[in-house]
Amino acid sequence: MHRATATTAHSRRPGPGRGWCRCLAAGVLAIALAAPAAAQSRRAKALELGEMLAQSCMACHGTRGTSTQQAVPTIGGQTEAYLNTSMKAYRDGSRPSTIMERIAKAYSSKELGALAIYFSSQPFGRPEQVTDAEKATLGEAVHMRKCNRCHLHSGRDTNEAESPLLAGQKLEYLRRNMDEILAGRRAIEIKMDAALREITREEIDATLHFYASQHGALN
Amino acid sequence: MRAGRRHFLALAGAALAAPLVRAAELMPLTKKRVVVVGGGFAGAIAAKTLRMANAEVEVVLVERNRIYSALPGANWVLGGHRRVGENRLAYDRLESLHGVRMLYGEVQAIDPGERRLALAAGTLAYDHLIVAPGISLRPEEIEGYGADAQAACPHAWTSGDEVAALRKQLEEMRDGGLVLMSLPLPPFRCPQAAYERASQIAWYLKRSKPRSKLIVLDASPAPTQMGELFMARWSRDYKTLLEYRGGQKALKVDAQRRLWTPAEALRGDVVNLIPPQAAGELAQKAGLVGDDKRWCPVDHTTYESAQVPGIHVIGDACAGDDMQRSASAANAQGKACALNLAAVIARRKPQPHTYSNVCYSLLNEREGAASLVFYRGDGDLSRLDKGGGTSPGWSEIEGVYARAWVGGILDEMSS
Repeated sequence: MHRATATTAHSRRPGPGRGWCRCLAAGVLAIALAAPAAAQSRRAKALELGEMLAQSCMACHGTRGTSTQQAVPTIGGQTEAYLNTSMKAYRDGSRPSTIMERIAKAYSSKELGALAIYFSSQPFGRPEQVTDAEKATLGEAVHMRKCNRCHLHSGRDTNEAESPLLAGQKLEYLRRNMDEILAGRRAIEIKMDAALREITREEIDATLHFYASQHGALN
Repeated sequence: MRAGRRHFLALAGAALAAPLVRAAELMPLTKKRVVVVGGGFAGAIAAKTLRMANAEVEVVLVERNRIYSALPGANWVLGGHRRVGENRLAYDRLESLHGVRMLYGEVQAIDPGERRLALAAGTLAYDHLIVAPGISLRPEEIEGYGADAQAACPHAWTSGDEVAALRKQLEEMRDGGLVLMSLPLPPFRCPQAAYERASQIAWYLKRSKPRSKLIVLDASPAPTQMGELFMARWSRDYKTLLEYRGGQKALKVDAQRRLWTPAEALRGDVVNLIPPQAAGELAQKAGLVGDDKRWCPVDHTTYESAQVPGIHVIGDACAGDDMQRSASAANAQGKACALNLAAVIARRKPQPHTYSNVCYSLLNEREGAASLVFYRGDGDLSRLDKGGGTSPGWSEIEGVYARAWVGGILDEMSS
């Protein structure tokens, strides 16, 4: 993208008698290009490393990170920041888990970053799940009232870097996590404190049905 | 339009004429082709991963059976909380979703010079070859373990349906019967599954035939770390119903279900005899096994055979001092081999890789645990010294994950 724009700008400059100017322009361009080009190449390298490392994850988390199992979350298409935060929290034990802590400890921060880049670049697959339509309708209203400020657009987008996308996430996984949050076992969700006041268990459950009920290709 | 049609007819003519000229070629080579032999946990995912990495490459998966009967989770059939049908898969979605071309048949020979395989129905040419031969059993290493004794004392170590047949034997056994399980010395396929099997048999006996007894005769002197986790609960849950005896290698067996170890001779009502193992038959026939005559030495970056250059070997058949043989490891090797082969085809450098081997087990119908090991494949294979480890104990949540793991890996390899 940067490269294409720069080439066009360069080629517009008229030719003869202005060699020093072209040289200067080329120098300025080279400097301007160096930073994003280096970042792009770093990202491409990280993506390649991430793809290789991600293969082991997919046996549980599904092809390209779209889970087929209710107990296991979809991680493909999740935000890079949230994946990074989660894996680091698993690694230092601040997020409760069974196997994930033992998995996360095997990776350096660079490798976790590469995994986050790879999975966040994949589509968030949303196969249809069994949900309760009535609960999902109630849940949508609760979502608008309590959750909408961070989990934007019905949970298909996010306002804060470290908040996960929720639309189409597996219902059983969402429930287990909400139980952990309600039990105070997830330090990171302090920011959910306000949202979880003046809300009933039924409303919470309905909201999870609302998120899980969204399927197919979403905007 | 007309030119296109003529071209099509010409092609069709060529296809019709081809069998007359080269009668034996099953699928004439028209583009870059990778053939994968063996549709188990290593081969099926390797075929799919290659197609996902490079849709221009033709991938042919050669497999004996139209229905694959998987082993992970099959032990739960013994406990009575899984149907064997849940362990059966077909390959149709690998074809429809990923464009893998299935060829059902048995490879009889490999000609690495000509890059061609021989099957009963004809030959198959390739540019690159991956073989996933799995294991073969060595009944000849136990005296008397011929066809009759094998029928009387099944191993149930190569398919889920064999495990279902073992369950039937348990159902037909009288209450008060003696069940014997015999484990070989490592290396063999997924030792953890043997402990899981013992647990599932004990679970069944305790509920349905409580006067019966299970004796586990382990050729190894002591259990593995994961084995100790099982045993901590055996002594509590089963007391006298389940007894573990280490250092009891099966020396001899007969069709009357009598089994001899260095210490004693026992007669079981049901005998599950797991014999010593080696790389699958194809690996033996194709000269892929190493000096030990059992396993296939490979480069653990590319999985290229050290015995026959140009052939890649993945899964349980591979040699590796410290390598565990399991569905999880096979799955990881299949993917790494496929990605590195895709890299080579695209003229990029193969990459060393880190992978995990996870073995989930169920102790009964609800409590699970897992052992996890991380490996680095970089020419040689080594264990990482960070990450991994065994569950601290048995839990319901890991029971949920054990079932999810089986469901996930079966879905992943077949769709």
